[in-house]
Amino acid sequence: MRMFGTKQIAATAIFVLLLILLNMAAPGVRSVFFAFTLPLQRTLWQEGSDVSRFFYGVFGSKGLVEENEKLKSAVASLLHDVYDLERVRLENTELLKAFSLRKEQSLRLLPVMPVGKELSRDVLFLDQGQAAGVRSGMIVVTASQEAVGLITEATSHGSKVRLISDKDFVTDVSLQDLGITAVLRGEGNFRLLLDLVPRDKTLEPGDLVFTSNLGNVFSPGLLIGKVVTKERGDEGSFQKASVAPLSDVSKTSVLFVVLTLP
Amino acid sequence: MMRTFLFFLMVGSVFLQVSFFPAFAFMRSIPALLPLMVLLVVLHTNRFSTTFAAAALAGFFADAFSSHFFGFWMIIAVCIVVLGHWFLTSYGRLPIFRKA
Repeated sequence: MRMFGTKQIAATAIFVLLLILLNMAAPGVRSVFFAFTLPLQRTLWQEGSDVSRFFYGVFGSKGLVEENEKLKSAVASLLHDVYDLERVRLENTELLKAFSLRKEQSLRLLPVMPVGKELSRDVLFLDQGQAAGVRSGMIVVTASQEAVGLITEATSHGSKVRLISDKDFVTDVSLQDLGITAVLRGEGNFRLLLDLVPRDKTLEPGDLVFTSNLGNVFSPGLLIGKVVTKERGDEGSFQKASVAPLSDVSKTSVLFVVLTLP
Repeated sequence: MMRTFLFFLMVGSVFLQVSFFPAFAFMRSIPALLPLMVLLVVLHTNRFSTTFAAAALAGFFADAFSSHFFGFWMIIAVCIVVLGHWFLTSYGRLPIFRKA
């Protein structure tokens, strides 16, 4: 069979020309495309979340009882903490009044809905863009204010958030239990690796990882996830560990863009 | 009819990959549906021009949802078609995909 005749060569030339033109107008084409397909993406994302929750309920029912017990004990423990913290908050308010200090503002958040994920990277598409005040570099968090990623691109109709787990995403983090700063690397497919933890510090599964302000990327003190397992066979002065985010971003139906920091 | 069906199938697979399947991440990874669909279509039909056009269209849609340059997924999809077609015409057709 003669696969590459005159027609095929002409078609290839047109194809290459089309690609060049598309790349010249890529942001505009992507923006229009995104705006047109947004309702379909929104519906599919919502349906995907619902269906996956249904299957998780069916196939994950075995672990649900155990998880429920763990959560009950965690809630009981947290209720004690809430009581203590409420007392501290009242004391703090009184002290702020006494010293006439400005009360700390809370984050100003914009609710956004993820509508899609890039094929080969940990980048999510959001349904709000510049029209709603979203700008490149803004922080994206979950409902419980866990850091998720950064806005990398914002068009008038939508935006893209690069997740912390995206490959080669690097940020400095703090482990408040150990009182140290380390580096968190994205490994792709929602995986995170904690690196440059001094070997003399005892890293335990369950240690919480927070954002740090050393790199001036994130607002400090936002929760990212918890240490799951220490990497075996580490050598040198530092140790590594895998970190799991506390909430599953791929199944969530709402995220928040931090419009202004306190 | 067949051509329209293929176009819808390929474009639909891109939308499913982008917006539906991320919720079904197994072992924290989502299988790439687009190359798989292109391969299945190549194995199913021997109409080179139809599969080529359907793959290029699906690649275009995938590129629209990608941070890579325009053409990244188009080239991958088209390469799968060309290589798959070449393999099947040179070395034979899999009997399980042969039409009755």
